[in-house]
Amino acid sequence: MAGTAQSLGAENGARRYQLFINGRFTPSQSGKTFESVSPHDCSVVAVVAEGDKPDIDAAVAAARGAYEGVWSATPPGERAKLLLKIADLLEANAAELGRLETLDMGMPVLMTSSMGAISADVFRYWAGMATKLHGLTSPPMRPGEYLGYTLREPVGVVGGITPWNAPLLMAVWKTAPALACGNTVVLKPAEHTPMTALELARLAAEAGLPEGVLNVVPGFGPTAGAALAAHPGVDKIAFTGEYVTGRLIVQMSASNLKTVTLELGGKSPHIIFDDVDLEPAIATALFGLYMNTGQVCSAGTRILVQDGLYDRFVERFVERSQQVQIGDPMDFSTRMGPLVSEEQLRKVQRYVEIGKKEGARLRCGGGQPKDPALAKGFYHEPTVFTEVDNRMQIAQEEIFGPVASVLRFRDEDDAVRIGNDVIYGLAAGVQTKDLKRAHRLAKRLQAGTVWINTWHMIEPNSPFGGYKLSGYGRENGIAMVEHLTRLKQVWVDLNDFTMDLFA
Amino acid sequence: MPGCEGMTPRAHRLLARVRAEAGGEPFAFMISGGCCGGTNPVLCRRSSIIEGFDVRLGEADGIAVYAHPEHARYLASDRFVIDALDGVRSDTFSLEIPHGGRFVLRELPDEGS
Repeated sequence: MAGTAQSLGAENGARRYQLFINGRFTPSQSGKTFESVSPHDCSVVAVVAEGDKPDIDAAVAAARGAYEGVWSATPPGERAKLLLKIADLLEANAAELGRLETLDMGMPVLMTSSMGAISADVFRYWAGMATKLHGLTSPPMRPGEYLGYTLREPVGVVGGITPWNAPLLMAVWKTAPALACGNTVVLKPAEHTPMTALELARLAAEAGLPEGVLNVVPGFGPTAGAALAAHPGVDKIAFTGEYVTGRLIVQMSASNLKTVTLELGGKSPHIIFDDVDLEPAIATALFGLYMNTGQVCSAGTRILVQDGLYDRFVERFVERSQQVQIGDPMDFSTRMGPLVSEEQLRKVQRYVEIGKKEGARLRCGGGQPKDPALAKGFYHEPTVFTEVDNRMQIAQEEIFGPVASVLRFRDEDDAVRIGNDVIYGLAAGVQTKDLKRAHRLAKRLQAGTVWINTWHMIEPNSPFGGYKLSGYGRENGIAMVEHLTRLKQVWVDLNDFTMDLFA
Repeated sequence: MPGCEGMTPRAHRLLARVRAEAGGEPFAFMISGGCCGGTNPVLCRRSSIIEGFDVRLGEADGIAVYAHPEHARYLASDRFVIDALDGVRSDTFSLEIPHGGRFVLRELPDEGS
């Protein structure tokens, strides 16, 4: 494989990355680059080629050529073998991929070190799917002998636009299913975190994925991202990000009527009834909220606690929040790292001010940690607001940081009313020992995922996506096949006579 | 009416850089929500606004500011200006991003405080 991307084992210091187009690393046509910085100390971790419209054009042309050539001629069994090889390489390189991910976005290495294995599972799930895509036969409804059947075909070139909050896994979610279904891919990773998507491309090439089947073009949203979304040579866009950009992509998609799936934000209610055991309920609430410093679309950020449990819950939740081990994400004992960027830190700080102004009670956190070792980074303390009213901005808007809004509810109906009273519908959760009540709520909550006595269970075989302003379409699971393939109906006349209407 | 009450000098300087390249193209700000780039203004072309649906929340430097009607319900009680961070990027399609900065919201203190 040609190219100049440094290998995974490169020395410390800023790495240099180029675009990955048509099987090789290549500079951007403009020659421009941008820096990716560590959110821990603002040091430059990578200098990355900045893709723009001409690079997207080249990547789409490569993807189209590969789709119409080598990839369409690759039988499903061979696609499956290639995806399995990519999975093995992701797993074999998990430690280094985790390290790069932590350097780039600040997720603690304790979590990122498992992302290679989690990503490998996604590839293996979809490797299995590649050989199980088929159409149906359909008998005619009218008299006569006809054979009707459907062919399930790839859509063609799929564009993926991914966020920074779990860069490798998001790149894998966009790539593995598309490839399994016989499509080729152009991926535009988030500009904060381009490294692991490019490493995925490198490993895929090493596994033998043909040139042009997977292309990765880092760049900025309004240039590279918009060029991809508007491109007439792209048949489908899968986007994860915020509402307005999702809407702009839908508008741009109108050019050639490409299909779009959107996974947008969330403000997920975590409903905790007073029949739970306190300590496990707290542990699940902490995990649901603080995982990845709260930078998860499906985080349980609105914690609804039943009246009878509220005071005891708050006391212990605040105590445990103050004990969260915040620190350098490269340290394996760290449980919570920095926020990804200054923009993100500023946003969290603004919401803390809004929460105070709205009259919520700030019970802990609210600022940056005092540890001088963290002074250069975008760190923010675990922060808990109580006595929050669901009409407040801190209850309605996604903060995307380590900020809890703890609300009260009276009974089941009250919990459902508050839980659903939000513009998003990505996830919701219920903690209770009452089995019947749990399933009643699962039905009544308006969200694409409902967790009962757990949080963050997201598996390659289970559909993930939103209701309301959390977007449309599903990722993961067999439901995703419908977004990545299209059906062709074939009719064959088996009758010995031919109808001659114009005789 | 509360909502957006203008723009800071730093935001104005960033906007000038965008305008220098884009010429006389009419712009709008949409306040976004959710996920990685959420709850910050997205600078977009005026033609991206959905007339009769998006709710206007004031203006900044002659550029109208809009939000989704449900989102606007919460933002309308807020007083803010559009500020900018230099050298900061974002995940969104906001048009200033290639120009080395990012528009953000900045709260104004309540009247009388």
